[in-house]
Parts: sequence; structure tokens; C-alpha cells
Amino acid sequence: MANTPEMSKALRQLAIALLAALLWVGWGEPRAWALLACYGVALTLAEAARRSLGHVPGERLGAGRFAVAALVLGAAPAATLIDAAPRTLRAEGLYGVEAASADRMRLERTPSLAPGVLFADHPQELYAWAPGATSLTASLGEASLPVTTLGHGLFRLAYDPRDHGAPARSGDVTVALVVDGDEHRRSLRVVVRQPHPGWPCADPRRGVAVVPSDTTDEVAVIGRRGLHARLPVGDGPTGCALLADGRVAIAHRFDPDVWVTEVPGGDPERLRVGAPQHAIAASADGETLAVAVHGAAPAVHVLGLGGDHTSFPVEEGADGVAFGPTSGTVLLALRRRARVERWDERGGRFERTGEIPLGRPVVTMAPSVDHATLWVATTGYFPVPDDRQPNHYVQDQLLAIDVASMRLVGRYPTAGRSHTQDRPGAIDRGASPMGLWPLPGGELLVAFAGTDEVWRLDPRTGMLDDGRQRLETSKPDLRTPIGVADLGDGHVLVTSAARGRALVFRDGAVVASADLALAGDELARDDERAWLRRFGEHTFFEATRAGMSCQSCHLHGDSDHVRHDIGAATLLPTLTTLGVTGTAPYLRDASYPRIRDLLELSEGHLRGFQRFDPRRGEQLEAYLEALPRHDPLAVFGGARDVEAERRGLDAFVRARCVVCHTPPAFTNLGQHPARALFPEHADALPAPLSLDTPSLLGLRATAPYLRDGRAATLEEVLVEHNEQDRHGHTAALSDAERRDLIAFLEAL
Amino acid sequence: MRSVPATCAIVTGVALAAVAALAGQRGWAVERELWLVRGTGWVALAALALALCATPVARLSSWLGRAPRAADVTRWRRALGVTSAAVAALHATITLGTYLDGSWEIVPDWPYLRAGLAALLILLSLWITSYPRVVRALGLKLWKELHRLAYVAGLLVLQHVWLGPFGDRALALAVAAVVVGVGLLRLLPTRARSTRAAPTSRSRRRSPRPSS
Repeated sequence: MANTPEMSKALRQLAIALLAALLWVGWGEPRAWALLACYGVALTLAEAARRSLGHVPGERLGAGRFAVAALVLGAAPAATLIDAAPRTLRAEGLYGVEAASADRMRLERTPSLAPGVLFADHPQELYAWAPGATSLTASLGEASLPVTTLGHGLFRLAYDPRDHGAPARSGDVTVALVVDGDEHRRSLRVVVRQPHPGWPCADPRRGVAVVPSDTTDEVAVIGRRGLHARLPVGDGPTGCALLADGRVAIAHRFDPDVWVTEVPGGDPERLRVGAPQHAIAASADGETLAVAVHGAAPAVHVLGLGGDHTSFPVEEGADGVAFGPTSGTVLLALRRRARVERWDERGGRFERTGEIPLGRPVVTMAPSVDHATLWVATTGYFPVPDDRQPNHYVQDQLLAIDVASMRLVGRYPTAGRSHTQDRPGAIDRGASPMGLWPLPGGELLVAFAGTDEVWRLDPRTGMLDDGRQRLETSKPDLRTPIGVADLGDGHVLVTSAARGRALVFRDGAVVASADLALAGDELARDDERAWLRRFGEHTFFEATRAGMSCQSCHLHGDSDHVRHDIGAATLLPTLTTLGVTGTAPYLRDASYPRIRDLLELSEGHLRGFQRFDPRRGEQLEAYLEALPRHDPLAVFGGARDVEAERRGLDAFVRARCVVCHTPPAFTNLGQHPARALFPEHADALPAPLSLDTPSLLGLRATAPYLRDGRAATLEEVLVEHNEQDRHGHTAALSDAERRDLIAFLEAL
Repeated sequence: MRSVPATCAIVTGVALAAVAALAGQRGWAVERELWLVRGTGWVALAALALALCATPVARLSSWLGRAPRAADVTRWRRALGVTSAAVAALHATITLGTYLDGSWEIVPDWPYLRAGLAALLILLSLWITSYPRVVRALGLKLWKELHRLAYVAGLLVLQHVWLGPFGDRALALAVAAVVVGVGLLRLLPTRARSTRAAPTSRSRRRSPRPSS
């Protein structure tokens, strides 16, 4: 039966399309323009056939025969096409586009909210964007959230779980926004975090340790026989220190007071130092405390039990604090400056009297028992800045610093190879030292979060290779150990924040446990998202076979503030991972549409993980989602200059920053050719280089700025590095307006 | 009544003048540029969407008993297509001269720029092959097969807007949905244009609905 003209037309078109596909597969070029070119060639060939044969091959077949022919001829190209689809999608910028689109559509659906995550364990601020709106009220369930109107349709919402209720489990929660009388509902992802036991403080003589859990506002008191008590403390405990009188001092992130309380429990004495308190330490005699406070005016407070209170300002909030041999010597670890400083009391005032540059920041630190030596863990040691560091270079090591001279007296690389590896050069031990506990006699307990081990290390004999002195913590389900402490009488306490657990070991065997968080099966049943987060945290800390983990550079989820060679043309400062969720695509050049795609770096460049887990990507995303961004609430507390912020927002809008850094996330998630924004640096910028518009939330903590960190301050961003006025219309701003703009940006 | 090309040119001219006027109100050079880039892009996209809708709308009209003349449909479709190609070329020129600062070499490296360029090349090719002499030289069958690339151009434009930093995705998606929705009207059966005089409104109300 002859085909109808319509049928012939359709078959002719299909035949041409099939030929084009065959040509495309043969060519192997994944990009779509090649398919178009092949279509052109197929069209030409079909026309040639039509002119010589009078018809296009296939056109005169019946539909059934054509289908059979197409199946036979098209099977191989179809399979190839399917196989090549990810490559083609990637080449066309469409791989993972659904993730980026979802984030973008969420932010473009005004009134919109950012960040899209609500933490049930600490106060935070969210921004609502309703262009043109003059009033907005927000409620979460029955509770009304305080709203600050900043102008131009931007509103700041304050949430405090203690006042507004805390959701009981992870999931979604709806926020009702009434904008100029119209109600809108927006959902937020709720993060309910499990107990997170961090770095312990302990008294080996009494056989007791205290472990703070920042997510549940409590400390666990643990003895040689296990958990004694769980005590509620202030908001966001960050560290603890035991005092000579047996009391424990607790530092907090959100509470402006250091709590000094009996163990186990009692009415606390409150010492006002301000928030956020980042680190705390007790002097060798247990009579004095040192507290490192971050925030708008970073300082270190030295508090005597007798009521003495001295403080001194520092250039940046200290990451770690410890005392030297006397209470008149304070040692500070500064992350951005990658050094340890010594401050001595002279005439009632503390002065900086020494420093030792390390080139990499201190991951964790602890003084020796006599406080004459400071032990620090780092991911490298470059006393002289060296821009020739190898690609992705990390060498975990312990450094011994003599406090009196501030000189390095010992250096012990830890990450090493072993015979248990199945590939040459692979690393399965000694990665990511995260907890240190010096012992009497000079030995050292070290917890390795990257390889799930605890070592008893004798620096005099170097690295140990004695299985009896190594605890494999993954076997008793204590993966990712971060804290270790001596409980005396041969007992060793090990904590795992990720697992929400602490175990007491003796002679290599577990003799007691303190289970603060739910066990895996219970957690999987009750809160799968939290269960995923737990494994995501393991992944974040777990070392690859190359000896690196996410944690190696993204120190505690943030940045190590070091410039690394990551295969780019220039050394680039490490980005923070805090608060990045919901701003797909990721990395500076938007090269990864989803966080899980970043795992290809681990599998490809870093030789993969030692454990196979098919849900690793999902877990990592869940973990990063639950890392709170740098929230200025902790910095400024309630003391904000809202009028200055409003003026700053006016300047922000007038300078048209709002075009790309669109509220509420302060990014429109768009990508730009670098040269289009910074033509003055065109020679240094590769033509295809893409700049992903970064979110400005938490901007204050992410210096240095711009892609390669060339701007140390926001002032430099706005003036020195915007000569042609293409990165915002900053030339239109007066000096006062620029100051307001910077104040506004730092408050985000 | 004005000719179809003239009508198209006037409407497009007014649209572009509005874009230029709105851009002129912007104080910052970069924002002026963005308005020009986005405005011309949207005019080109609108013209392409209308061109793609021309035949399905004619089919609907035919199904409703008011079949337009095939020549009229062709004229409108061509005028809209040519408008789209011309404004898209203007859009590309402005983009290259302003936002891209003349760095034409980066275009092949950026998927959304590449998609826009590919769409532009298709539209220009269709424009060139839309003259009667060229149509005759190509033959109607080849011409039709070639001009089906207009749909590919539509997809590329969607990709261009979707991945671009300033594209309004919701609007692009809405336009695409309308074009696809209207395109489904092609499934309606054709009905030969009546050679009789147009019925009066009363007789049209009385006439039975065409059977499918």
C-alpha cells in the first residue's frame, strides 16, 4: 500500500534525522552544534539522493518497515547517544541543570526566603525579599517572628528556637509571610541536629571528663565507668576547661557569659565576656581562664578565679587558646595568619612577645603537661611562604613548639602508608589529627578523624608502628574521632561528634560508653535526614587514599584561608562550605551543579575513599546543609545599627549591586564571563573563565575577596578592583555611602 | 491596510524604541547595556514565538471555519521570522559590543552563548533561504525540511535564556509552554478554505461545527 503524502513527509524527515544522528555518533563531538552540522550534511545528502533517485531512501517504505529499518540502523547510534548523553549535557551546560534551576526558581519566587534552612538548635536570621513591599509579618506555626524592615522590599527575620519553638525532627516547615496584606507560604528545610560531643576537658586524677555538645546546649560528664550526667548549659557551648577547684568553665557561642559550674551540676557562676566565645583554656595551676572571643571586636579575656579580669584586643578571633607555664603567658592560634602567637603579661597588660609562622593554620592544639611545649596539628608546615606547593598538597603533621623561645622543636608527619593498602602510595592511617592530649612523661594521645584511629605517640621514638598502641575506633562504631583525653589509670576517652558518642578504652578494649545520640538504626528510623548527615560528616572527615579529606582544607567546614594550587592557573584561597547549600551551581566557576558531583574530585584526583558507599553524595549534601553559615547574629547580637544598614541598603540598590547579588540570598545564581566584569584584568583571566555570582550572606567572614582573593577588604573590592565601574556602579557613591554599604554588607 | 512586512517593522520598531527609551532612563552604563541586551533579546524571542505559532493559529482558525489564506499565513510567518533574525542579530551585536566587551572568542566556550549563536545562525539561514528565488532553487521539500530548524532554534533560545545570567526563566518557560500549547493545535484537522462569500454573523452562528 502506498504511503499517504503526510506519511511520506514524516518518514522522509525521520530518515534525515536518523542519518544526522548516525553522522553525529560517528563524529564523536558531544556538543549540540555538531548535531546541527550533521543535520545540515544529512539534509544535503538527502537532497542529493532525491535529485538522483527521485526519493529519499526510506521515504517509500511503509511505516512498519521503516520502523524495523530504523531499529536496525538506529540501535547502535541510539545506545551511543544514551551513553554520550551525560557528556553532551555537560558540554551544553545542562548537566544537573535541574538542581540549579530549582534553587534559582525558589529564590525568584517572591516573596522569597534565604537561607532555606532553619536550625532548630540556635538563633539565626533569615532574609525575606518582596520587591516593592512596605510591610511584612512572618509566623512560624503559632509564633510570630520579629521582623526588621530594611527598605526596598528587604526584611530581616529573627528566629530563636527558645522563643519560637523548635521543630522536633528534620523535614520541612512552613513560614507564613503576610506581605502588604497578602499571605504567602514558603517552606524551609528544618535541621534538627543530634548531640555533637566535641573536644573534652578532663582531670586524669579524678578520672572525669566533660564534653560539650554545641547542638544540644549541654555538657556530658563522663567518668571511667561511662556517662555520669548530662547538664544543660548556655546557648551553643563551644569548649570547656577544668579548674583547680574542681569546677568546669564552659564557653558559649551565643551566650555572652562563661559559665563556671560544679561537676556534676549546680548553679553556675557567670562571667561576662561577650559572644561568640570560640575557645577556652585553663592555666597550668587551674586558677586562671583564657577565653578567645570573636565578633566585631575580637579579644582574649583572662579571668582569674579570684575575680581578676583582663582582656586584650587581637587582630582576629583566635581559633585556639592555651596557657604557657604561667598564667601570665597566653598562646593563640590565628587561622588567617597561620601562626601561633605568644602574649605575655607585663605591668598588668598583655603584649605580644613572640610568634611562629606555620604557613598552614592550626587544626587543633594542646599544651604539654608542664605547659612548656605547645603541640599543634597542621596540614603542612611552610615557615617561609611558598607559592610552589604541589597541587592539593596536604601533609598532616604534629609540631612541637617551645613556648619560651617560640621555636619549633619537633615535627612529626603522621599520614603514612601501610602494607594494608591495595595500591602503592595509598594512605590508611594518621590522617587528619583532630584531637591531642599530652601525657605525663612526654607521650601524646592523638585522635585521627581521617582514618578512625587513636595513637599513643612517643615523640622520642618517632611514629609508632605498634598495633597495641593504636585504637581502631571504627570497629566499636566510633568513626571520625575528634577528641581524646586521658582519664587516668590507663583509661582513654575518645569522642566522636559525628557519631554522637564517647567511648572509654583501656588496654585497647572498650570498657564504657556514653551514647548521647541515637544509634544508627534508631536514627535511620526516626530521622533519616539526620542519619544521612551522620554519614555525611564521616565523609567530610574521611581521608581519601591520597591522605586528604574535605576537612583538610575546609577546616571545620570553613576555610583554612590558605591559597592552594587546585590545578588552576593561580593559587586560590579555599572557599568556605558554610551556608553554601541552596546556591547551586557550586565552586567559583559553577563547574559543579550539585554538591554530590564534587565527589568526583575524591574519586578521580584523590584516588577515592577506602570504603564504598553508594549514598556518599547524598550524605555529604545532607551534612553540608546542616552547617550553619557565618551568622552575624553571633557577632553583633542585638546591637545592630539598623539605620546605618538601611542607608547601606540604599547604596546597595543605587550602586545596582542588586542586579546580580539579588536578595534574599544576595546572588541571582548567574554566571558571568570574568572578563565582562573585570576587563581591567582581562590579560590575567582566561577567556572561558566563568565567575559564579557568590552569595553575600556571611560575607564578613569570607575575606579575602574576589575570585583569587586579590582584595583584602571590601573597600578594595569596591574601589581598587572596580576601576571600570562594571562590578557595581560604585563610582556613583560618596565615601560616606560606601562606608554605609560596607557596613550593610558586613552585617549580612 | 498596510503590508505585513511594514506592519511587522512598525511594531518591532516601536518595541525597540521602547527598549531604547527604557534603557536611556538607566543611569549606570552597565545597566543601560543590560536593558538593551535583554530588551532586544526578548523582542527577538517574541517574534520567533509568534512565527512558530502562526501555522497552528491558522489551523485553529481553519477549524473554526475562518480559514485564512495560505499566502497570508506564509507572509506573516516569514515577516515574523525575518524580524526575529534581524533583532537577534542586533541583540548579538549589542551583547558583543557591550557585555562581552568585544571578546567574541569566549562565545564558543559558553554553552548559553553558543546556544544563542547557533540559534542566530539558524534564524539567519532561514532568513536567507526565505526569498522566493531561493525557495524555488531549493525546492519546496528541501525548503520545508530546512525550515523545520526553526523549532531547533526555539529550543536553543530556551537554553540560551535558561542558562544566561540575566534570563527570566519563568517568562521563558511561560512562552515555551504557550508555543508548545499552541503547537498542539496542529493536530486539528485542516479544512479547505471556503471559496464562498463569508457567511453573515447570523448564518455563522447557525452553521454546524465541523466534524473531526
